[in-house]
Amino acid sequence: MLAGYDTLITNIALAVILAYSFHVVLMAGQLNLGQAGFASLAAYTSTLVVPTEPLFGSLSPVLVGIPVGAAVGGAAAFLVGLPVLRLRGVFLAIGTIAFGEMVRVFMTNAEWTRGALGLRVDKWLTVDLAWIVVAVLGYLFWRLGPSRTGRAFAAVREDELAAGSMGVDVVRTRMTSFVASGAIAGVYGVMFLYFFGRITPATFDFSLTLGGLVTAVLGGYLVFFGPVLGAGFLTAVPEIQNALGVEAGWIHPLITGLLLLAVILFLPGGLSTLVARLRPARVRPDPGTEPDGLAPLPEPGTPIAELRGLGKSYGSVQAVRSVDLEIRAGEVLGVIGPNGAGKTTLVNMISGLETPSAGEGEVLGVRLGAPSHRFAKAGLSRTFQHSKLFDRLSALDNVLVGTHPVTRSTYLRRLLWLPSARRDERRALALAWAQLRRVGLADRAHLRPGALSYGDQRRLEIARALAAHPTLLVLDEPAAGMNHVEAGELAALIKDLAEDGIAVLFIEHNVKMVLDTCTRLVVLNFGEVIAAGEPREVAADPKVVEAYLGAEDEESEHV
Amino acid sequence: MRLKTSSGVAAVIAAAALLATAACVSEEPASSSSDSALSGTGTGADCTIDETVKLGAVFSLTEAAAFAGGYQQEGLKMAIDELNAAGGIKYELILEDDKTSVDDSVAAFEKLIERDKVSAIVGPTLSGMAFTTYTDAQYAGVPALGVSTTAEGIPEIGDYIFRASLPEEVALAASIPAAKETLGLEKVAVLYDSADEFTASAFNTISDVLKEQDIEIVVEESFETADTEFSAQLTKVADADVDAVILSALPGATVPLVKQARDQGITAPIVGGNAFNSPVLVGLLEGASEGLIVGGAWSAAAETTGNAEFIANYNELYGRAPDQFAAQAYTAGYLLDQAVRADCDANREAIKDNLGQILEYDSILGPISIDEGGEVTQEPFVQIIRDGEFTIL
Repeated sequence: MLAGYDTLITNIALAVILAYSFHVVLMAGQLNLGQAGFASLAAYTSTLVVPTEPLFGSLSPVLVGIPVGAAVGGAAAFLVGLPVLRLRGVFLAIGTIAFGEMVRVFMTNAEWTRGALGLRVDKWLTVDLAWIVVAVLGYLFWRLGPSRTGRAFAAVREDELAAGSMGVDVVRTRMTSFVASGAIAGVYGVMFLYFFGRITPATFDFSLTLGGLVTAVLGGYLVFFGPVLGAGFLTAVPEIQNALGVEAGWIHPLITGLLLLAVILFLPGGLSTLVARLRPARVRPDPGTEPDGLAPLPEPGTPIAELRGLGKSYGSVQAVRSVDLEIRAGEVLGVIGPNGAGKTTLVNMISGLETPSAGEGEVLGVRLGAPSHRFAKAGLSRTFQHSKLFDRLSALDNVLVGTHPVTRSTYLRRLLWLPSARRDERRALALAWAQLRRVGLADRAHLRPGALSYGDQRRLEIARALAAHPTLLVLDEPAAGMNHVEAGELAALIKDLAEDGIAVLFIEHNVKMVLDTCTRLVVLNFGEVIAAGEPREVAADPKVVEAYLGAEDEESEHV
Repeated sequence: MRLKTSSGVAAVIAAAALLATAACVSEEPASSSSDSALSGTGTGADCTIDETVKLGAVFSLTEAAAFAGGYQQEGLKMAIDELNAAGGIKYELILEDDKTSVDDSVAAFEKLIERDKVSAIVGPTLSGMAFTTYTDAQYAGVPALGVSTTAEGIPEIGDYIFRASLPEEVALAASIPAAKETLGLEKVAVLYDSADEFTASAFNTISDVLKEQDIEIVVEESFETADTEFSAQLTKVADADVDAVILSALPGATVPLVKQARDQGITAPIVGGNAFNSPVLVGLLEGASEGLIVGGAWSAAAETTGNAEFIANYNELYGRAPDQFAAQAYTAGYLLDQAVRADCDANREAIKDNLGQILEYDSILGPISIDEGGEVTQEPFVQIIRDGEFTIL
């Protein structure tokens, strides 16, 4: 049936595989453009180890080449990633392009590669084998999507800072996606070599990288079959033009280019947007069960955080200076102070987003200065002054990311369909739904954050933070932008949480709310604690009144 | 989405079984079928075949090698039209563009072989692609005739592989003694493209010929196909004060290199091969082309059989002068016709058997022969560009 189309069909398979190596990094928001280099290294290395005769009489020698390619590509990506992954965005792109060029130049000048003339091998790759590799990759990505690892990828892509605060090890997640990309590119390189039987250093040039990137972006990287759509589209368009009798020549690339432009302009999520429009994504329903297996919170009154002489300076600016603070389980600690008093810097240090430049401290057993995901794992959860929600995830998926610190990785078990993975996913789902209900967003679970009102966004962020089952919840101006009804509801929620035994640390300008909810109040001015203690006493402290009056008239209205 | 575990296991087993079978490689050779409708009556010029004979062509019509593919396409089309007008056999030419890429070249060959079921294929344009596609043609048992695939080792791919393209080394080897005779060369500079198969292999021949002719190489420099800046190499040439510069390059690099050489004040004659043999190149070089010595497979100035008509018809048909690529592709059409008419049989086997028997066929390239090994034999033309015109040296 398909006789005579083998090359065409295999070319599509190869394009899909190359696109997957971009897909996996785009999923995690990393613009890696070094795939050509990884593919080249893998392909050239495989010529050294792949046997020239069929294995056991009839098995394709590519079966040796594919794992070798994956190993070489992955290992190379790891080594390159160590220095290069310090970069982000366009700088990462340039760094990885440079790597690809380095490999090309090296291969051109090495003796054993026969330089620019290239190498020839027997063609061992069959069309079925190529598509089986595609099927395996498709399966891996299909299972990855709704797993804990898949959510970590999405979280890092959407907002690295928020992802780290939700317990996602950002460095490790970026490296994982980078190594996976290298491994897939390696497999591509080997398969290309054994399909066409010939490679030169120029085979793996920048245009190859561009082709893969275009395919991945065109197909869309938010769904697992994006690369298949992209490759299918890019192959089908010229073929259809041929079938319609459009003359070859410059018209082909022009029409393909115009279609490409149309897709990018009108389908920002790639071709997969079309599929999503035809069949809207189902929000996974509330399993209705209460989340179980959560560790009990510490007894109220147990010290959970201790800061001694904490300071932070940016150059000559002392944002925070010698702050001593103890936080106990179950208390609601308010931090107030005029704008620029160092409140946010203080909570950023407590949650691991910033390293203190003086003093020391320990939060939930983690020493200050550790990366933020360590604090999250230990039971600290936070929201941000300006919400840092994951824009392209539904409200439910946002909250599911929050469960990261209290769930186990499910990806490998999902690949094997182990029932325990499903149990764990259901438990995470139950956790997430419970928090959505708690903040009153259960009916809006399917919406993206952009479709929610400002107050709802703040509540969603709190739900996400609560999904981590925190011991200490840090809220940075949670009531900002809320009307007084919403603020009242929020105050009730905070009191409720405190009753459950969660310690809450929050920064707020709404003094009424602070006085209503806090069990203790700390006032910062110019980075220093100027008053601390029982809220009403502190509010009446002349130093506090002066700090506010002296700072800004507007602020004084609240006091 | 939610398979029960047992069916999941079954799926895994099924996938494993599929993997095991799909990974097998078969080694059965292509079966050569022959279609009696493709063999006709009569012999030679009187041969008549009822069925239309399908011929395939794969040229680089777009991207890097389009400079050659366009001429090849025009030359071959013209030949096929002339042959169809002559009658007896009706040819259908199926033309594919390989976009100067290996992937597309392989796909085009597969289409012509498997879907169009052509009797023979002309092309591809570049040797780099031929090394991959000719393996497929050989495996499928389809005769392939190269018209610009001049690299070493092409005919050796198999008994179905032929070429009517004078190897670069033969053209260059002929131009060096001719240039020595007229210009009295003693010491020369050699510049070559080390990234291209045929220019790199030509470099080896150049060295051998120069040694035979007792000409000393004082400067030897290489560059890569895509380079556009040659001042490093040319400075060494300028310092050495040579009698001539021998250049083995593709047209892409030739134009900037020759121009930069003239700009740097290198006045020594430049001796080149096939790449120089194009009126377009002369046009692009403007004044810098003066005094270039060119060894090639065809010359507009040669008084070979039908050459004057070929040039006139080509000019009339396409509104531009033909170059060597056009001439060689044109000749390929006639060579295939010869092979078909020999036994009045257009089956793949018959064309393969008869292409290797062509002896001293009188073409616009002069008398041309193809041996059983698939290699071409013809006398190269050595020309010099004087007043913007190719003149036989």
